Amino acid sequence: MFWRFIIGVMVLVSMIDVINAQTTSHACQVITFSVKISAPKVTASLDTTSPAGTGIAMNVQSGIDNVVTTSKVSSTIENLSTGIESSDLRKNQQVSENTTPVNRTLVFTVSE
Amino acid sequence: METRRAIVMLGLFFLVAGVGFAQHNNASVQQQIIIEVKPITSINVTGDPHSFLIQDPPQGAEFAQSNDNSTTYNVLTNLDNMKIVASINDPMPKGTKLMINLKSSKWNSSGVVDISDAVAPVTAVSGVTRGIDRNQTIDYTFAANANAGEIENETRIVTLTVTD
Repeated sequence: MFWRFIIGVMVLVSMIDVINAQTTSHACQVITFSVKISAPKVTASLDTTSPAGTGIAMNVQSGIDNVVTTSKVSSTIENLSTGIESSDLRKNQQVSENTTPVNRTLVFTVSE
Repeated sequence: METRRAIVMLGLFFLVAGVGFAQHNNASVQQQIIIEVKPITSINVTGDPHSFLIQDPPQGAEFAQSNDNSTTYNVLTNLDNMKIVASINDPMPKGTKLMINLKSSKWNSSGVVDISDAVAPVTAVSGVTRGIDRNQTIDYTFAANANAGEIENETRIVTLTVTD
């Protein structure tokens, strides 16, 4: 009985030694994060209406995967902002043979 | 005169006898002192970093970033050939990154380490030897690109471990 008690105490002491020996230690941090969506759009407009029977085609490319790009053609400021497809213009409008060269400024605007 | 001599002689006798008696009763004991130092490692951090919020589009880069260096860590070990590894409880959402940079004045920092998918620990500091490194800065960088979408207050737990 006595020796059982002694052996029991020795086993207990060994277990305590194992618990006390710390070869690894941990520390934790909680990380909290949020991402708010900012979805700006790019619009384009002309400074002056295109001559009758003409249109300006454009295709804005984007390097970001999920940005939608649209090819648009305009003969007027309003048409450009509403986005007429170039194929529509080619089918429905004719360009005058006597159109003289004119300059138009295309303005891109980024907005929410 | 004779009496005086007798008193002196008697005094000397008691003095010698007293010294002899004292020497004879000198005693000493010994105790055996057993000392032992177990392997010890300890690491702790000073709280959590601030919340990361990205709401502005990136400026001239694919990823918009938010940084925090408001927390520090302390390490103590009496072991050599140790390292500090970092892990995350769950991978970061698509389109986001979480990076950590554990500064160290004593050991070799790995610099900026991407722990976005580090469910298995990655080494942040190597060459850890016995000693103490206190108040070392923890730099976090949270980054997101357009693939992230909207994320509302998600959390992750980053664990720093001193191990061999």
